[in-house]
Amino acid sequence: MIANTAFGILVLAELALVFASAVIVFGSRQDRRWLDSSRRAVQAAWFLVTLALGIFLYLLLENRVEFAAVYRVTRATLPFTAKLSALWGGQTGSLLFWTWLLGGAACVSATVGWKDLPQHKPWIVLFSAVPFAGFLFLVLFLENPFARWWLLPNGASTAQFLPPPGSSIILWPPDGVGLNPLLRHPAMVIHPPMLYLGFVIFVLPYALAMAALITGDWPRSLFEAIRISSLIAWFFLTLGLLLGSRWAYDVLGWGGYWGWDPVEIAGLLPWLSGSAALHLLIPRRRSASRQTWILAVILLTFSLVLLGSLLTRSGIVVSVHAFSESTLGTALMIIFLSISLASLALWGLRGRFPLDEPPDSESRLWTTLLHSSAVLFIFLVCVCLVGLFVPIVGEWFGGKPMMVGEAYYRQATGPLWIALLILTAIAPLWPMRLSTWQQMFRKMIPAVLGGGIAAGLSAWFFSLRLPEAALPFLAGFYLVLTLQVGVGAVGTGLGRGAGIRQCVDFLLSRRAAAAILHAGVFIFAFGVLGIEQYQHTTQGLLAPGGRMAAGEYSVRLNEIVQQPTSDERIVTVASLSLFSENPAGTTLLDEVFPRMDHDLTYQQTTAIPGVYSRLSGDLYILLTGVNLGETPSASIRVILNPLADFLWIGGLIMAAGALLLLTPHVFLSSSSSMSAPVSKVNTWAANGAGPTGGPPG
Amino acid sequence: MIVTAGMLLILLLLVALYVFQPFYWEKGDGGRHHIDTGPQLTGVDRESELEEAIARKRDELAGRED
Repeated sequence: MIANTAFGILVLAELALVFASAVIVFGSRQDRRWLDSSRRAVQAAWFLVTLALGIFLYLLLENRVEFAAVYRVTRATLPFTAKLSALWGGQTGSLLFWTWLLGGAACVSATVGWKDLPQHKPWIVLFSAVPFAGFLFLVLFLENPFARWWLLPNGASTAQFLPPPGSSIILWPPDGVGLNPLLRHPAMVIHPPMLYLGFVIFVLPYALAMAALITGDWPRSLFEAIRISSLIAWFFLTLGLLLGSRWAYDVLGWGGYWGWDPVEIAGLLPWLSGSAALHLLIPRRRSASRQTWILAVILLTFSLVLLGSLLTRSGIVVSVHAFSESTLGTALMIIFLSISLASLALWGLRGRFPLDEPPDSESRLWTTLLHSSAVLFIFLVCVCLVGLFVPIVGEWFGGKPMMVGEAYYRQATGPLWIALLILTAIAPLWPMRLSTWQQMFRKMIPAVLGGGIAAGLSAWFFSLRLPEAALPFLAGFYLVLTLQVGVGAVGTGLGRGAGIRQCVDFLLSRRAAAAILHAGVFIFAFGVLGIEQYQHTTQGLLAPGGRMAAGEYSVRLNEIVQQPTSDERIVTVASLSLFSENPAGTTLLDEVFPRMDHDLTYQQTTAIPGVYSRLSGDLYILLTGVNLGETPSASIRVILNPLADFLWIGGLIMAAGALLLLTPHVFLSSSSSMSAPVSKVNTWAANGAGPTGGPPG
Repeated sequence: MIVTAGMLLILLLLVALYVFQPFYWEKGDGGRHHIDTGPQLTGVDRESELEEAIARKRDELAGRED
């Protein structure tokens, strides 16, 4: 009964979405009652999918393994958190969860008033409801979460929703398969929801962009709505990617955080194009070409979200993150192609912003730098797309399977990342009204000195080689320039009678939020530099009591213990003491316990590292093999990851910067109705700090 | 089977009531989406009453301006 009810609920939801879409397309858009009715239908559809998701979650927690989707991902002995992760641990549950989140975004678009965009409102609702309806269709007809196991007359079994002909016996297996051991990490409870949220929220800027193209009306408030919704999506996507990296670092046991895996790249693509869009959205003045390209990049971003879904769920690519078995390939391809091609066609036909607004106080130099950042992000998208599609297309045309490895991505993306870091370093020049390159270079002199000192110190103390010393140079440059602009503006304000409140307002402005976000980028870059360029690996075979050196450290194997667990794993743990070796002597730092988990159901062994973490770097210790015979021994790999924590700290600071950009205070300071105090102090930043500025009014 | 069908019918009814609310209860959402068609003159069936009502409304509006 519960399966039929839940399926019926999903059918009702799909009908509600079809009704909502039909009313907007064919109904009277002038009659607000019809529009209200369609909005309510989208809200009702999301409520119904929420009910169905709740029922599926109940089935998972109750271990109702007669349902195929439950059977494949859960097991009676799994702890609660793992059962929760099982919701998105399999293709079916994950698709239902994804659809629910997408429906949530559509529901938001149907609920928000869009007071400034009355003409656009029906189209915003429509273009957020259509992808929701498309994915719900897949849930209903291709990956039904409520399909059960049936016994066929010939003794075989099949999983489907309706009883197969000649059969009415439901199979009830004794227990489920259980969750893939790789997915039992705490980060998996939060990483997929964050990542999915980031992806699905991009449906809002997409719907806004489509509404602009259809109505031909491109008001300022529409671009502000696109900026805010893109920033929210970017925030969640950043957190999702960061948590995914942390999961890979903790679970996959290769000492890295990013493997340029096809699915990782598919997740990165919308982040890159979203970053490009956010940079294009910064200038306040609307120009014909920029507004046109903003819409193009927004449409591209949502197409990349759909492409990511296609690559992950169709089985086209082989990855540790992908769902290998799938019936969704063709349907997802149809959704991806129809939405992408329709967007492209509409943009090609109607993507012309009618006029350039008159120039304002923003310098042309500044907008050029922003455009350059956006172009670099789009180049990165292109490089990643080439890397993704060359093997797929090569195989389609009958060639041998091709591999595009990390070396390609490092070499192709490296110069682009460096160029982006250079642009990030000069970003604090934003408030200064610099109109010529000469003015800009003159203003940079203290920052160049600061960067030089930072590079020199890092070369002296940490023996940083020349190409890598560019990073501390850029970071020092950025820090000095930020302080020069920020402190200079506040100092000028205080000197001219500003109150503390006004200065605090300035420090909490959009500019300060962007400065924090970009500081996070540099901190993150230090983490990347440490792991990519200075990682050091030592491997050795140790008997209990044996010791081996690893750089300035050494490890001693104390004992090896192997025992079965209640959730059907055999866990082998090595107890290791970790010492610091320095001229003054040997110091015991800590004990670490790397282990190998062998899952009996999956017949899969996972190496979980023991990590000794400090700000200067991680000692990442893996148990890679074990011999428990008469003379026991363990194969130990010690990986030194300098500055690894900078990755997580930098990523969190980037997300915090994005969150700060979303605070109401920052909205206020960036909107057309800028509050007087903030506006005044911003003028100081422009006038007081800039060489062309006159006395503040 | 009957119970399932019954539950789904009730759900369908509730959804339909919610979706079509703007058609049977104009201020159903707290008046946020009420269509403002300007000053209303209701219950008027004679010409003189209509003129009186218009005059009243005019005075009222003039008073508001003051």
